[in-house]
Amino acid sequence: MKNRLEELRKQRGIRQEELAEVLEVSRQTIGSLENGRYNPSIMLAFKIAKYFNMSIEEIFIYEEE
Amino acid sequence: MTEKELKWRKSLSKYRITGVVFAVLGLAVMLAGFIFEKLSNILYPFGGALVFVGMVFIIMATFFLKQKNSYKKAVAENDERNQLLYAKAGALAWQLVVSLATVVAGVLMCCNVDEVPTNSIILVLISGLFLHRVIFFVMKKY
Repeated sequence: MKNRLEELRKQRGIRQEELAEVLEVSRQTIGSLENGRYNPSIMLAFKIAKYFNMSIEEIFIYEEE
Repeated sequence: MTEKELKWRKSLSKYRITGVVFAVLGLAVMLAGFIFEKLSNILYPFGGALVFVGMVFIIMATFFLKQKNSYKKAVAENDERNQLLYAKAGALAWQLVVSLATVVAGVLMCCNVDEVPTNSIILVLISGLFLHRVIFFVMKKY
């Protein structure tokens, strides 16, 4: 699954640490999400979408393997 | 301070009070062991264990309450990815321990050792705990 997390974060000029603090996760988790090494839980995906005021589908792009 | 952090600090305070209750209860049990000598074999270790658990509760809660940014650290440490890695590391460590125990049992059987030495059981269990921590650490880093 691809995502636009890094792009959106950089657009808003937020550091990984700041985003991690708001989402109540570790900075490493944000890094892993951005690299596509980790897929978030539905709860975290909703939190991210709410934070960026977007829908989940706009941030996370499902790709069939 | 956010509402969540306040809640967390309150739960830590409760944790500390529980520790005090455990410690006092443990001391009472030990005192009972002193009074009723016939039961001292049971009451002393039981009371001692309660005091120990109580002290651990008190020390840990005080440590976290005094530390700056402890809430943020705790949140980051217990986030969903870390929990997942912890579970994965546990599963992997368990598999390795079972394999290790099988090898140890096989070696003991080949050497015609009928009784399993306690040392080997303890060593296998300790290595399991150690492996869990090491695997978790490596998974977190990479």
